[in-house]
Amino acid sequence: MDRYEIATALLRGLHVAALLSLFGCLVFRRCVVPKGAVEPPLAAVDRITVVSAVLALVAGGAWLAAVAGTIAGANGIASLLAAVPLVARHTNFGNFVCARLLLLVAVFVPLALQDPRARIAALLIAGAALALQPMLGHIGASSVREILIPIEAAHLLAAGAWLGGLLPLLLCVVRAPQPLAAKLCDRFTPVGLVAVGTIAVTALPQAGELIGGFPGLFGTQYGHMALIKLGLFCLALGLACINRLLLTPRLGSRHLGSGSARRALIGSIAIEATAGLCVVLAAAAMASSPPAAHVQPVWPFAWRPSLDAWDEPELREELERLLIAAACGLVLIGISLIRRRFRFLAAGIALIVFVPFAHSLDLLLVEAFPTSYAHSTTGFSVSAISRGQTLFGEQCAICHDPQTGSGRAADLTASHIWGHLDGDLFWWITNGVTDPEGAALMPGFGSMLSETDLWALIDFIHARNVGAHAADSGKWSPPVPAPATPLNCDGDDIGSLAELGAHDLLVVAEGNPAAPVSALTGPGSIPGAETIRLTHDAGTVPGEGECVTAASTAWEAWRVLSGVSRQRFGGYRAIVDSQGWLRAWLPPRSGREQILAAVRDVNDHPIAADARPASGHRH
Amino acid sequence: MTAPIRLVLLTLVLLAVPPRAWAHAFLAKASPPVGSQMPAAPPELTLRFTEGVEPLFCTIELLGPSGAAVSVPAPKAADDGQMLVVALPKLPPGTYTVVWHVTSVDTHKTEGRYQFTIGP
Ligand code: HEC
Repeated sequence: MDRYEIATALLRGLHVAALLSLFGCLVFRRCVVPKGAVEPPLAAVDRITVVSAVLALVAGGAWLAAVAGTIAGANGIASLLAAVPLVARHTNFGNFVCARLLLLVAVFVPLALQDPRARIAALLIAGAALALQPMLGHIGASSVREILIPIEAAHLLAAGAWLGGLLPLLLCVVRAPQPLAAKLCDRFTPVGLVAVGTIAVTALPQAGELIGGFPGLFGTQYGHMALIKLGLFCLALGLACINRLLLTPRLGSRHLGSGSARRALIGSIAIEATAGLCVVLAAAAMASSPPAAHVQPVWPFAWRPSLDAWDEPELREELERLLIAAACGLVLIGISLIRRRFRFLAAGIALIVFVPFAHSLDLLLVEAFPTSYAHSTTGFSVSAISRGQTLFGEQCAICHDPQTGSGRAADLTASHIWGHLDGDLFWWITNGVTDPEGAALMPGFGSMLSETDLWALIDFIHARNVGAHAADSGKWSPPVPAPATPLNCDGDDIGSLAELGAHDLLVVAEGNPAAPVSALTGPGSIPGAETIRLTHDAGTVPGEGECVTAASTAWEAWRVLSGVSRQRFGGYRAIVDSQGWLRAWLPPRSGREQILAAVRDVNDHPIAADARPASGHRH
Repeated sequence: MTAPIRLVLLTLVLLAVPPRAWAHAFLAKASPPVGSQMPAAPPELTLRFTEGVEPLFCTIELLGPSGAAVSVPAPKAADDGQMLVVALPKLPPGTYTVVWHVTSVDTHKTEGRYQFTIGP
C-alpha cells in the first residue's frame, strides 16, 4: 500500500468506527439504560452519539473524495473536485456511500428531538446506514454476494452493538453513581453476548470466501491482517470476560474493594475499546487489499499438513494407532472435565496414553516450500501445454527424455508425479533439486524462465505424464480435466470447451482420411454428445452447425494428452464428460457401436465430485 | 548455512515482498480470445471480468501491429456489468495488443494486456 492508499484506508476505518459508535450508543441507550433513568452521564452519552454522527459524516465525505481521486486518477485539487460528483453519481460505490451519507444527515432530526420514540427512529436509520457496508467492499463484488451480503450486514450490526457500546459504558462506569454503574454493566452482558456470538458465526463464511484456507491465512498480507484482527478480537473478548466474571460482581457488592474494582474496570473497558478500534482499522486495511483468495500465497512454514501417509498401507497402521490414542486421550480429558475429582488422574493417564504415539504426528507433516500452495496461472490451456512442450524440448529433454537426451534424470512420466502439488513442482523447477547432502542434482530455471513459462512447463509435464498412461489403457485415471481449448462454433468464438454446457463431447482429431470427422457429425452424430473437430489450423472455418477448435496449438496439445505418436493420432476420438473431465480415448478404427458403448460407460460411472485430479487444476 | 536456516531466510525475504495481486477484477474471457488467430476481425471486442466493473472508469486501448494506437470508442458495459464491449473498426491483418484498465465495483483498479492475430 502506498501513502495515499494508507490514508484512504484510515479514512475508511475512521468513518466505519464512528458509524459503529453511533449505532452502539443508540443500542446502549435503548437496550442497556433502564427505562426512566435520568442520571447525568446519560446526557454525556447523548453527546457522544451526536459527535459520532458528525464524525461519521465528515470522515465518510472525505473517504468518498479519496476513493474518487483514486478511481479517476486525479492528480490535483481541481481534478479531484471534478471526480467526486462523477464517482458519486455513476459508480456503485458512489451511489451507496451517498445513500449512507444521506441517512447520516437524516439521523440528526430524531437525535435533536431527544425523546424515546425518536431515539428508536435514530437507531433504525443508523442501523440501515451501517447495514450498507457490504455494498462498499469485497463482498458486494463477490460472486456469492446474495448469500454473503446479509451475513456481513449482521456482522457489522453486531460489531456496532458491542464495540460501539463500550464508550458509553466506560463513561457511565467513570461518572455514574455506583449502583447505576453496576446495573449498567450487568445489563450490557446480554447485548455483548449476542453480539460476540453473531460476530464469530458471521465471520466464518466471509473468511471462507475471501481467504479460502490456511495458505491464504498464513501466506498473504490479507491473511496476516485477518490474523491480527482475530488476535485483537480475542483480546477484547478476554477482557470482556474478565469484566463480566470478576470485576462487575465486585463493583456491585457493597463491600470494601468496589472502588478498586471500579478503577480496574475502567482500565479494562478502555483497553477493550482500544482493541475494538484497532479491529475496525485492521478491517479497513483488509478491505483495501486484494482478498487472499485472489493472490498467490507464500507459505511461511518449512512443512505442511498432508494426508499422503494415509495412502501407504504400512504408514496407515501407524496413523490408525495414533488416532485411537488421540481418541482415548480426548475421552479421558472429557471425563476429567465432568468428574472434577478425577481430573488430575485422568489428565495424567491421557498424557501417558498419547505421548508414545506423538512422534507419529510427523507422518502428517511433509516438507513444504514458499510456493507449495501457489496456483497455476495458465488455466491448463492448449497454448500453455504447447508452450511448455517447446520449453521442455529446449531446456529439460537432455536430462529428462530417454529418447533424445542421456535420460538419466528422474522419469517425469512416473505416476508419483501426480502426488506432487503444482506449487512444489514450481519450486523445484524454479530453484533446482538437491540431494539430501545439498549437492545440486538439477539446476534451477527461475532466472531464465518467466513465471508463466514455468507454469506452462508444469502443464506440459502433467499432460505428457497422463498421456503416457492413457496411451496404454485408453483411459485417464486419476481423472484429468480437458484442457481449455478455444472453439469456433458456427462462426461464434467460444472461449473454451467448458462453455458448451453440461453434455458429453466427442473430440475427433482430423488428419486420417480413413476416419473422417464428418462420419460423426450430422446424421452420423452420437446422440447426447456434441462432436468437435480437432484441427491443425486456427483459421479453419466450421461447416454449418459444426464446432472446430480455434487454436493452432490444440491438435498437438490433445495429442500429448493422448500419448499417441503424431503419425497415428489422426482420427483418434476423445470423450469429455459433462463435468469437463477427459475420460476415454478410442482409436480411429472404432465403430459407432463402440463409441456409443464408451459414452454410455462414461455416463454410468461419473467422476466423484471430490475426486483428486491428476494435475492440480480444477475447473 | 544449513538448509532449514536458508529456507527460513528465503521465506522471510519472500514474505517481505508483497504478494502479486492477481487482481480484484481480472479477465475471465475475451473475444477475440487471448492469443487467438482468426481470418478476419470480428465486429466488436468483448472482455468479460470476474467481477462487476465501472464502465465510466475503464479504458480499453488497442495497439496495432506497429505498436501505434488504433482508435476505438469508449467501452460499454453489458451482462450485469461484468462485461465490456468495444466496437472494432475494420482491422488489417497483423498482431494486435489489447490493453485494459478497469475499476471493479469494489473500487479497486486492475490492468492487463493480451494479443490476438488477424490473418490466415
Ligand atoms: C542437468 C540435467 C537436468 C535438467 C536440464 C533438468 N533436470 Fe529436472 N531433474 C534432474 C535430476 C537429476 C533430478 C532429480 C532426480 C531424482 O530425484 O531422482 C531432477 C528432478 C526433477 C523434478 C522432480 C521429479 C520428482 O520425481 O520429484 C522435476 C519436476 C524436474 N526435474 C523438472 C525439470 C524441468 C521442467 C526441467 C526443464 C526446465 C528440468 N527438470 C531440467 C536433472 C535435470
